[in-house]
Amino acid sequence: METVTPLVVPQVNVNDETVRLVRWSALDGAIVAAGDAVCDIETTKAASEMTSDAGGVLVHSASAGDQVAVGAVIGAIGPTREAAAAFLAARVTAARPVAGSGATPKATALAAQHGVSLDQVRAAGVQGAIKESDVRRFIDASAPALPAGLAKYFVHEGALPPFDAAVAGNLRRSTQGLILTSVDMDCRLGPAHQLIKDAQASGRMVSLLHLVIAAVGRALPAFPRLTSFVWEGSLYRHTAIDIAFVARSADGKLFTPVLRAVDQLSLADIAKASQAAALRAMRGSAKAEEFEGAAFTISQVLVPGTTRVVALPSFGQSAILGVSSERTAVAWVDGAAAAQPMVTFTLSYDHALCDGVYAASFLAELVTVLETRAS
Amino acid sequence: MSTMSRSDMLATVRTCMQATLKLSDVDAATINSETTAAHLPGWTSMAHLELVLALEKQFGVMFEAEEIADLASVSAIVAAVGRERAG
Repeated sequence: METVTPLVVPQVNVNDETVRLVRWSALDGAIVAAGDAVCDIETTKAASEMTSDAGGVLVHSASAGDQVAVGAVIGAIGPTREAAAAFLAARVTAARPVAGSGATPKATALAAQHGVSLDQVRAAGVQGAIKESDVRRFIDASAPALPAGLAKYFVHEGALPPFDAAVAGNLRRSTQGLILTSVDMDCRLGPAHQLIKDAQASGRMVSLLHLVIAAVGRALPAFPRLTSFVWEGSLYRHTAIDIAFVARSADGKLFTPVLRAVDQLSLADIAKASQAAALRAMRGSAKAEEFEGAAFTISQVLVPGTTRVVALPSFGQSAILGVSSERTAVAWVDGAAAAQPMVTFTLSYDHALCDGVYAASFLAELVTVLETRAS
Repeated sequence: MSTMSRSDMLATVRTCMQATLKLSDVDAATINSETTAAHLPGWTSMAHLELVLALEKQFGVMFEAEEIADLASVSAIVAAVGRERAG
């Protein structure tokens, strides 16, 4: 089951039972990351900002201007828009605290956050009201038991965050069906560096990632097995060279925007489109479909010293290209040894679809494009 | 929106660049309207996105996402900020 995190109105002031939803700062359907501001609320004493507890697609269930109860669910964040909407349809009524329901607002909020029905929780207090501690005890008691003797080394921190669980589920589903192996190839970056420097000197931001996306777009059409995948014994092939790239913001947020029909785009178009897509993702204004349907993914790890990047294909893909950090190495160029900027490409692929020669031939073509025809 | 001189705008752009491009080794005075990403090793494509977000926050503007690839020079940034503030 896909995990969804409800957006629960917090208790800001002890005396307030309701707050006003002033405005949504993240649009309905926007991709948000954990910690992102999503809306502003107002109590009788102050205005404050609500942030998301999880990353994923945000779906609203209340409107700006609504007066909402403390503990009420006003939205949900899920791995997909459909999952979040389905969650709201099923739970929003149950999660809304009702006067006299026998649970404190904090208990209601904690229960909603963990998807716990208050009907399952017993109150420990003599007055019968379910408190936050009652819900916490129920959650701890519901955790799967660790092997005997190990429990003393751990503290239970609750379920895996929904976005992490969704990513893990995707990769587990994908890799279960793959016979995953990999092949490496080095690439000299002299021509690419010159191209990047020339573009940047003219005021256009072009990076190695953009060049690699363009080169993959040129090389990939001749290697259709790398844009195919096997599902339940049947072979499927993507109809377009749509390429995703992994981007990471300074504060550690990961996202994988998809560029469409890359084989038909110029380098300038790719640089423009990839930066626009990454900016929309960082602003939280990207739509879910901007992250869907890639035929192939490129993952670049810029940490200095990284020599090879073995990545896992997403569901619906059978290959992914890892790009190492740049390094200086001695290479034989025009009959003499010379220091060269280098990078290592690692192609992880499904051996059910292609063998090492096929995979290495793709890398050789990619390297040829970058070393001799980078443009 | 209040008016801002070109030199004030340039000074604010410098501040944003120093905060986002990790330019601790660069003398701010050397950053001028001729500076491009080619001059500053820290002005990478990811740092460029952080810079754009910082500029938007500092100047209270929002750039068109499709135009940011062409903002890899100080002169282009100052011109774009001026356009957005005027618009």
